[in-house]
Amino acid sequence: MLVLLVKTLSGTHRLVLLGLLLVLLAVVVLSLQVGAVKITAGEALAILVHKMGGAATGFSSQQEAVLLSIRLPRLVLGMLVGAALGVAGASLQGLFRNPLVEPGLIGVSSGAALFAVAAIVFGAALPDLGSVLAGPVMLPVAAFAGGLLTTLLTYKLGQREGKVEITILILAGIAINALAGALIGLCIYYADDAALRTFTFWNMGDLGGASWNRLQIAVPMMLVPTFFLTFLGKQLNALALGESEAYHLGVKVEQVKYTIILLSSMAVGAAVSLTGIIGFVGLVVPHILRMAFGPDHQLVLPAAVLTGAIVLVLGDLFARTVVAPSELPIGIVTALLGGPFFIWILMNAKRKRTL
Amino acid sequence: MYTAQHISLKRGNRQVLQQVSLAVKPGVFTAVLGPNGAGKSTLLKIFSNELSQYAGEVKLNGKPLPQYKAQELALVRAVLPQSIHINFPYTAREIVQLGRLPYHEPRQQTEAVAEEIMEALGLQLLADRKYVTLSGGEQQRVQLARVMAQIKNKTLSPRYLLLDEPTSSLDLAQQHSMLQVAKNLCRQNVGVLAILHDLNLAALYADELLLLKDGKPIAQGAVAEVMQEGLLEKTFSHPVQVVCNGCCGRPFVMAMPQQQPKNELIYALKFSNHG
Repeated sequence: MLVLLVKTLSGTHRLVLLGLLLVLLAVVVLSLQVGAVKITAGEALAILVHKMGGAATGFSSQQEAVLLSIRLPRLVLGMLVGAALGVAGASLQGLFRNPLVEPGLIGVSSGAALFAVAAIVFGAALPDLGSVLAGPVMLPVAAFAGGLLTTLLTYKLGQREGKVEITILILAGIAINALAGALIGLCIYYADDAALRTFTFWNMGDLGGASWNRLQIAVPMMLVPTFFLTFLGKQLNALALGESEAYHLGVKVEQVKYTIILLSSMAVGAAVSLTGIIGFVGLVVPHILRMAFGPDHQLVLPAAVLTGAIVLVLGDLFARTVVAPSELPIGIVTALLGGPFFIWILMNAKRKRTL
Repeated sequence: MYTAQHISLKRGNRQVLQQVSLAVKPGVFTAVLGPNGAGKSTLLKIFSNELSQYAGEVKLNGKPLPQYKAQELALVRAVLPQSIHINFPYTAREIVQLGRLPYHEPRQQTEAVAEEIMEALGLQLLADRKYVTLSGGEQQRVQLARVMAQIKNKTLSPRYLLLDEPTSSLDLAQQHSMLQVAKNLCRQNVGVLAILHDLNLAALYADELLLLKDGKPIAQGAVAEVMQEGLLEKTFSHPVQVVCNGCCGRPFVMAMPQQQPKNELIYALKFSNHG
């Protein structure tokens, strides 16, 4: 499949993807080194070789522990969440034929947030359920279920005679978002101080809780939809002409719509459930790519995977170093850095009339 | 052959199409004429397989339309709509290359076909411009290049082009060059089915006509047989005169002013004085 993707790309597009891959690699290497415990690239490599059973020395056991159980899982989670948010944003914008769409529009984020806050506020009151879904697993599972449920509801509302009408879908999304917002408010009204604090921080996004245990759930939940979304570039290019026109070109339009909505809500639901709400990435990453390299989705989708990962790893690096030894929630960082950056890009594009 | 037999379609209480049969032959330019709401666009949608809830049968090259897969159908028939609005900054070249989507072919092949067709249509200078910055006429030519790229292949089976009022956003010269391109395609064994509004454009470029009114066929056949005053007046509910076009021997239709009863005319004059 990957070979097929590469074959249909033009020479320049291949170079762009290769370049982004190298940037991601550089960012990963940098991110592994920086933190309270200094680990050089050489030491990190030695630790990894040692872990895989090779003979390598020259590092302390503290460095090994920090790298393997803190920095590496956090890095993997960050890359996955960034990739998932980036590609989901790009494919939804393509599907809705609107560059202003972001995953939150079809109710994923607000649904996930609603179920998360309900789990935080009322979870303790249900001792039986609480023991089943004990501790750290309950929040992500609830959020994922909430995201998927609201998306399916929005999707059902957006259907007419078996076909999805995008306008109705967006309006339904607005209504569902408003309803979820109100219910979140209601939950918060009944929350005690501790629950309120937990929810507030969850809502700002956080990569801090990454561990290999949680990654076991996260990796398939995000990797699978992200992987399959990457290959829908051709179909999305055809959809840019309109739904009828895409059908005339041989695209199974209803199937593509269904696939994209389901896969992207899975990817975003999983991301939100593990790290809370991280804004900006899904909206802006595809924008930047389109302005830089054109709107061809065959490039934009794989590039959004890589760029989403780059942005989130960099954002996390900033979040955990700028106020060290404490750290900022990643959602604040992405919005705080991304907002002005995006305004700067907009001004540039306006001047050059490339928008 | 692209044939529709005894097509009827009802929407609510309205009979949109009633017992319409039409054969689009390879190498022949067939035009559908009729007033607004006659069911022309619905008929085209049935031909393109966008609508499936109808009575009757449509066959393409001998095979019933519902048995075609979307991609299989895209290899033998293309559709050019009135106009297409695109929100993303694609270049004209990228739009033309989209025509090759149904083919699983290497990138170079797609690029070569797109270049060849853009050159044939004189679009080289527009190729790198953003589609959204083009004028309505230029956009329509780019879309024409796209659908031509779509049905350009080496198979021996006939291919078909469906045009839905292709000239509505074009100026005089553009209208004629668009239909001339379609006409030239007919010479390459492509069957063309076009909905047209301008009777004289149809008279100049079409080989066969179908007159449609309130979903019912009024007349169909060769241009000379169908372009008759009585039939056209019945179709459009408006007086016309058909004369012979001196230069090419094709019929030429002149629309006459509506005849009004005398007292009505006086009323109209009075009304305009007060206004």
